[in-house]
Amino acid sequence: MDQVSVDYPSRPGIIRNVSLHLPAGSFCFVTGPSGAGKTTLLKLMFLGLRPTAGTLQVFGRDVASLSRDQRAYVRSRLGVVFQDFRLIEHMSIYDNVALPLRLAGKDSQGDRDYVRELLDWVGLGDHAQAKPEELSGGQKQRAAIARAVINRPAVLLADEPTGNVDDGIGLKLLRLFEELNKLGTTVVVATHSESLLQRFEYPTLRLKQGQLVDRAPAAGAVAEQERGAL
Amino acid sequence: MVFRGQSAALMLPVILGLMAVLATFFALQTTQKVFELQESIGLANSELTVFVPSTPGLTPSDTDPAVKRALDLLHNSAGLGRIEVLSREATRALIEGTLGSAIQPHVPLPSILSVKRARRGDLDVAALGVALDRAAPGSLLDDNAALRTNLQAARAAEMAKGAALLVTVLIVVSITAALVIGQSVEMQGEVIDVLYVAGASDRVILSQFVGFTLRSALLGVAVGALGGWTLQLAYWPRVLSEPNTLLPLQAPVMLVVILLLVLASVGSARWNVLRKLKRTF
Repeated sequence: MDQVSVDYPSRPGIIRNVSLHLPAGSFCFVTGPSGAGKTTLLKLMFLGLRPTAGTLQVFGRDVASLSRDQRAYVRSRLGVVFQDFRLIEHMSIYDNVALPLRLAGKDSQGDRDYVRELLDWVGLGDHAQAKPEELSGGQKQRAAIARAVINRPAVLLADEPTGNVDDGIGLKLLRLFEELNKLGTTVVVATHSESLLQRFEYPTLRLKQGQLVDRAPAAGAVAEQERGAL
Repeated sequence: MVFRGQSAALMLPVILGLMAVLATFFALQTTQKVFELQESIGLANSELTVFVPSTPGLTPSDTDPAVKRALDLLHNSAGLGRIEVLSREATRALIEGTLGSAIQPHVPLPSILSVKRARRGDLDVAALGVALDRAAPGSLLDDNAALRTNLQAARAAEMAKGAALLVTVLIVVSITAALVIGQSVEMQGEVIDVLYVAGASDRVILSQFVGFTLRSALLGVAVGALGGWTLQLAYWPRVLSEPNTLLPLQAPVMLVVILLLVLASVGSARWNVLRKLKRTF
């Protein structure tokens, strides 16, 4: 991101002149108080929002120059986990997890085996046919993570993934992200939980009123603040 | 099936079904009226009426020589088929139908000859009229030109009225479908978000939502069209006595109505989803 800003008509300056670069394979947290712009920053990253100003590059390509189909392809290389899970209620956990594969036209026996493997990996092997309403918050979030990584994304973006689960489950979810990161996936986790941040030694991008104001030890991520306190 | 009817979306087949009942009924009503007018035009085209004034001084049992001369002429004319002399009762009924029941029994009635035109063969109506007037002075040949003109005008008016009603129903359907589908798109916004972040292209998201709309619309419209047809059947049971003639006439009308309603719904769904995608992302 280079000098990226986002203005909503009802709320100007939700992101202000943010510049940062996430190297492939890195792991970082994005934190800040409610309304600081964490979700908006993640939305920019998964192309759910266009910057009002500045340049956004994903996988080295300027997003503004991409066609809608090219942007869809870029999104297929990203995995997104939402705080509210966003599981489709009338579909089974298996079908929810397999959805990105089916959208990509993949439904071979190998693909089906892979979905079951992934469900086992997140500990939901016995709940494949359950509906989301039958699962606990932690189980739903694990299903959402499985869905986010089913396409083996290069980048995993998680927006407050532990917001609706207790601390113990939250910690287990973060361990899952660590495992994915060790396999080469770039992971960005937005959270406002300071207790969670203290348990992990990963770079932390701190937002305040839409500006990047701080970054914790930069082992992987490099943040640059053009007009801020940093 | 990623999208499934929820709340407002569940209303879609119901609303479309009701609209389909109206649209089908109106369309079939128009079809019926146009068909009946067409039959009358065909009849008017195929028949001529000859009025021969009665010869004074004849008793009811006498054969009118003027009628005989007119019949001879008609029998010898090309392009004519069956010729029938209306009975006195039928003639009285016909004239009373036009002039009212004030006709006195002693007033001499003209003779009325009903003449079928042959399917093939040219007939010069004007020349025949002149020849008839010579053979039976004062006789009148009516080729139903005025009636045909009236019937043709009635047919055009009926078709225009039917088309206007259908267009009105289609506009109402489009607006209603746009509102319901717009509501449904908002309610299914999270599913669209999930598809979007999962890497689905606009085309894939559109096809999923349009597929959902198509299923709902087909279900509602098909049931509604059947309801409209049943209603029309109760109104015009002649369909049952002449299914071979009338059903082939009604089937394409119903298909067109179904197609138009489904297209209006699907078009509305496409527009709504594309608007959401372009507005949001």
